[in-house]
Amino acid sequence: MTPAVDDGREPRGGDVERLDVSQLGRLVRERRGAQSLRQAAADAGVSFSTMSRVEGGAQPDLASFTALCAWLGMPPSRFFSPVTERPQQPLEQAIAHISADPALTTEASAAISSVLKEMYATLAKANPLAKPVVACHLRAASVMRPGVPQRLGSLLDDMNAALVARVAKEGAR
Amino acid sequence: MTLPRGFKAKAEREAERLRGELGLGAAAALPLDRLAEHLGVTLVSGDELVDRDRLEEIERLQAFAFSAATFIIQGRTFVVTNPLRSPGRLASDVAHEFAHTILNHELAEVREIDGVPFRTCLPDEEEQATAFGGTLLLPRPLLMLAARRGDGPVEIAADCGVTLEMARFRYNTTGVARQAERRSV
Repeated sequence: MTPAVDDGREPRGGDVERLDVSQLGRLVRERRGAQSLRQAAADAGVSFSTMSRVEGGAQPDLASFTALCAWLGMPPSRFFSPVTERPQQPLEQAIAHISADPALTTEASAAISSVLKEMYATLAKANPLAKPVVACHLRAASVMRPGVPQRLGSLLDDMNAALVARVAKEGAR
Repeated sequence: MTLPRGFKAKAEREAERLRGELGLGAAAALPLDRLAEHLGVTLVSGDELVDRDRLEEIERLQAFAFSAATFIIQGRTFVVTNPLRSPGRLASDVAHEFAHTILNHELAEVREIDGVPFRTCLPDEEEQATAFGGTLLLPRPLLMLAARRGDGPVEIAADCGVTLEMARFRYNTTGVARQAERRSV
């Protein structure tokens, strides 16, 4: 398996480049390297056209996005929170305290931090990443250009609301 | 990705059954409004629900980004269409959405992650709806009659109110032209 772009470092304020969904294309291109588009798409489990369009800056559907994140070795959440604005997590706080404790050697603090990370990863409740905007069958482009998903999301939401109002009005008659 | 084994034959049988229930002849174009009524589906143009400007804006950003959607509200099914589409393309969009309903596909969801909406879709079901939608509009017996008359995709598209691409696709993939040729020999 070829190495992922993610180097496994925890994101820390200031020293890690901010990632967002618009940068997905650049990261996918970097990860692909000299590999052909077709081969990379097969490895990532997405279609050739999705791979090509995502590299061009378009947003994939959720299934393709998830597959691409797995292929990149990055959690989907890394594409959303601006790192510089992200508050320090409890685990990061605990590790910072342990690292600064003069009673511990570097090796000892690293060992405790490692155990803590492992326990946290196992026991902490996963954050729900996604909430449904609206449920519908949608006939639409599977890969969307920048600006389209947001507009389409709110459009479907408003269509749904207008239909709910229509049904309520008809029911009241 | 492939359709399940026997899907195409099942789609042809189902299309024939529905046309029979509507009292349509084998060569008749499918009246989508009558099929909507038959299925208990309400057809709504998108600009009845939201400003047309918003649909136009999305279309400017990306052509064909939004074509149609099916909503189920308190047990009622609504198929919302894009008024910017040509009649032929609208027919394909509506038939595709009807196919989801007839095939009892569960609604997929548009989900939001940190304020960014993502389309979720089940690729297998989308492929099935596309194949079945085409069969509803242009079932094999209709194509066969047209081929025997000597009509090609251009005439079929004009007679049935579908796009030339759809007529060409169904005409070529069902093999009716070759079959009609063999019979005439």
